Formats: sequence, C-alpha cells, structure tokens
Amino acid sequence: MDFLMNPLEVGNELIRIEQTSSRAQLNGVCGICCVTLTQ
Amino acid sequence: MTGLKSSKYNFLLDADDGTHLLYNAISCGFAKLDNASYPEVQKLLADPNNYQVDTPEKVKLLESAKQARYIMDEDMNELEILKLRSNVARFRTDSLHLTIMPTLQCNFRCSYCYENPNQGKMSKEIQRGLVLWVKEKMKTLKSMDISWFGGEPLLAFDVMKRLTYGIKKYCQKEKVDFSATITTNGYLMGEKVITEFKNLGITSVQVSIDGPPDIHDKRRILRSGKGTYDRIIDNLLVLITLMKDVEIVIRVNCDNLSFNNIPEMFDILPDQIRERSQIYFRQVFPPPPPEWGGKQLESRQAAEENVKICLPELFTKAQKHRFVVYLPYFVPRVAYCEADTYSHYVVDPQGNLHKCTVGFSPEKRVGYITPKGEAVMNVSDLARWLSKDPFSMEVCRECKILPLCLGGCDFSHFCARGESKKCHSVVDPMWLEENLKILYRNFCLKNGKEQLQRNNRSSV
Repeated sequence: MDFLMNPLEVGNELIRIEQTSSRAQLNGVCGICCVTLTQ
Repeated sequence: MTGLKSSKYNFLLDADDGTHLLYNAISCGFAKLDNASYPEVQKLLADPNNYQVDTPEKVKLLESAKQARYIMDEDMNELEILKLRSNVARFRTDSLHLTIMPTLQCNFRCSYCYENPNQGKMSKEIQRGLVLWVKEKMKTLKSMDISWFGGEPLLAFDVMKRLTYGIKKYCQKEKVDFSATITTNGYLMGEKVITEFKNLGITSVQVSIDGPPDIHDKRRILRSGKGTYDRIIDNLLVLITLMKDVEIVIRVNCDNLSFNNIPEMFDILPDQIRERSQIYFRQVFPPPPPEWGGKQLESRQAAEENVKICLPELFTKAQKHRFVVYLPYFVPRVAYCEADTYSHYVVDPQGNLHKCTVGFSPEKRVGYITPKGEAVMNVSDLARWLSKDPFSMEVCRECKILPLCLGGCDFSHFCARGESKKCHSVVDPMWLEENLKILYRNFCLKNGKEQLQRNNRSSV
C-alpha cells in the first residue's frame, strides 16, 4: 500500500483541522462553487 | 474486545491503466495498491474480523489500513467524528477570511456574467471602517486571509493596496499570519502590478481563459467588444517570470456551445503556462433565481447532465496534454465552501457583508461595516445562512460522499427555503470515482514533470 496522499493522522486530526481549515485552502481559489444554482 | 469494521466512505477502484486505488473520504488517505496487496485489501475490507494476519506483510497492511481509517474499531462512529471536525472548523473565531470586492465595476463584459456592475469603488470611509473592524478582531485571531474578487479587483488596485497595508500593519503587530489570493481577469496584470503582488502577500492567482482565442474572444470581451486573449497570455507569462512561487490557476468557463472547441487551447497555450499552472473547468451556471434579480433558470437536470459528461472529458483531455488539473475536493474538508463558516464574509464596495459571491445583493446582506469600524449584523439572516446541518438530514447521513460534499451549496439551501430534505450536491459516487481517476493521473503527471525537471537540471 503506497500512499499518494497521506491520511489525516488518527488522534491528531482535530489539531490538523484547526491548523489548516482557517485558510482559503479549504477550497483553494474559488474552486467548488458555481455549478449548482438551479432550483 | 471490540471488533473491526470497514469505513462506509471507502472507494476502491481501478485507474484507466489498471492501477488499483483506494481512497477514504474522511481521512483522505489515497493509496496505490500493487497486484499482490490488492486481493488482500479486498479480503480485509470485506470482512476485517476474519482476516488472517499471519505474515509480516499482512501486519503492515493492517496497520496501514487502520492508519488511513479504511478499517476501524467497530464502535467508532464516523458520522460523529465528521460532525465534530466540521463544527470545530465552521464556528471557530480565531481566523478571519474576507472575500473583498474593492469594486463591482469591470473592464470586461463577459457574455455570461451574473454581476451588476453598478457599484463603484469602495470609498475611503468604508476602507477605514473595514480596517478598524479587522483591527478590533485581530486580538483573537491567529490567521487572516483575503480573497480579492470583484468586479475586476485590479480596477481598484489603490483600494487593494490601502486595505492590505492597513490590515497587514495590525497583523504584524499582533503576530497574525496574513495571506491573500486574487481572482482577476488578468488584463490589467502588468509588470508593475505583479511586482506589487509580493507586497500584498498574494500567494495564488486565478485567471479565466475560456478556450482557444476564437472562443475566448467572443465571451471574455472588453467593454468595447475587443478580444482579450493575447494580452492575458502575455501577462501570465510576465507573472510566471516574476513570481516563481505563486500558485496559478486557470479557470475555463464552458457551456454547451464551447465544450467541443475547448481542447484546441491545450495545443495553443505556451509551455510555460502548461508547466506552471493548474487548470480546471466549470460549466457556466444559470443566473441566480428571480428573487435575487436573475432570469429564468435552466433546468437542474440539464445542467447536471452536462457537468457529469462533459467536464470529466475535458479534465482527461487536458491531462493528455500534460496539464495538471486543479482538484480541490479531495483534501480533508470541513465545509462545502467558505459560506458555511462563521468567520468568512464577502465584503462589497459599500461595506455590506454577505456570505456568498453569487447570492449577494444589498437587500440580502447579513450585515454592514460602518465608517467607524462597527459591524451591524442581521443575526437572523446570518443564522439562516449557517443553519444548514447535513448531519440531521437523512439524505446526507446515508450518503457516501458526505465527507466531501458536507451538504452542498448554502445558497441553494437558502433559496430552497422549506425544501431542506432535498440533496443540494453536484457530485455523486460515480462522479467521484471518475474524479479520483483524474486525481491519480495528476500524481503521475506531477511525478513525470518533476523527473523531467531533474533531468533538465542534471543535463545543464
């Protein structure tokens, strides 16, 4: 099993989430939006 | 003793070249499996409690599978963990992310634009109020991020500079990390502006190129109607030369009329852009619903069918031309987008605070900044934006892609009003698997490019 993307560390995941989630990298630059606006 | 179980959020699939891949949507561990370990992994995931661990290789396999949460203790509740993670991040107050529109005016008149360019530049009074508001919040912050958006933000470059220098001064004083990104049409991004980007803390630049010149120049036009392709390309080449570390993202907006012609751009774009940037494709979306001032919408079904069929094809074709594609979905996620988080606001030129860059109008604001630096909030509307709770919705609790989707678009929820039981995701498990294959090819491409760069260096 060769990890291309390392998993979040079990046990330390909340720390990692706190460290990273504040950044716009949550979604990169305007990455995910703008395809769903149909109701 | 507690037994073991497999995660609900595992995706085991084969890439187009036959490579076996395993991804977990909660841990985001993405593994390549060789032919020897693949049948073992299948056995382990199918029945972890009866898996015979009788060799050192199998011990290692079991450890890796636990590490990536492909398997876990039977009493572990993945939904609760995901909910905790999401809530911790969504409602934190030690970070502030502002998407600032220094102007809504634009030098372009793109054929599909949904914005109203009536609001001009942010006044000096509002700029001062905004800096004072951020200054007050600074004492509790660890990080501060600005995403410049518009309109075309570079039309108000003086506002960008004044706000940045005002805010950065307090960040330095309080030891708060600062960074910024910009979404620009690229037309005004000349050498002087790029040189200033470094001082503005800009780490990422997104520019739209909507296809080869004959397509792009019909859609992304100046107010005069003139095309913009050549100048954007020239400016991107300057950016690449002057900013070695900046992330460059090329966004390609497409629709039914342009899907077939877009691949022509892969042969035309200069190699420097291919080497330095990431590319992604988005279908041009219907305008906001009538109550937000938009026109009649396309049917949701038609829009979704296009996304599912045409976009993966474009991603695949881009990779065949050695473009690394931009896939922001597969990292550990805590929310669908910034609008889900308490500490993110969109600031328009009048100082109004909103949650979304698409669903915004002065009448629908969640608050506003006064020239004295106070934020007057409409708590009721803010609460409505943040009320989405996918963990209480049956359709989400049952869904295998919940860790990546986290309930879908807030704006759709907001517009749907009472229909909160409906799925607002754009992705489904099949779409996800197609995109995991694309993600895998990205890794192959990156490795290939790094190898090429090493070879070039050693041959110099």
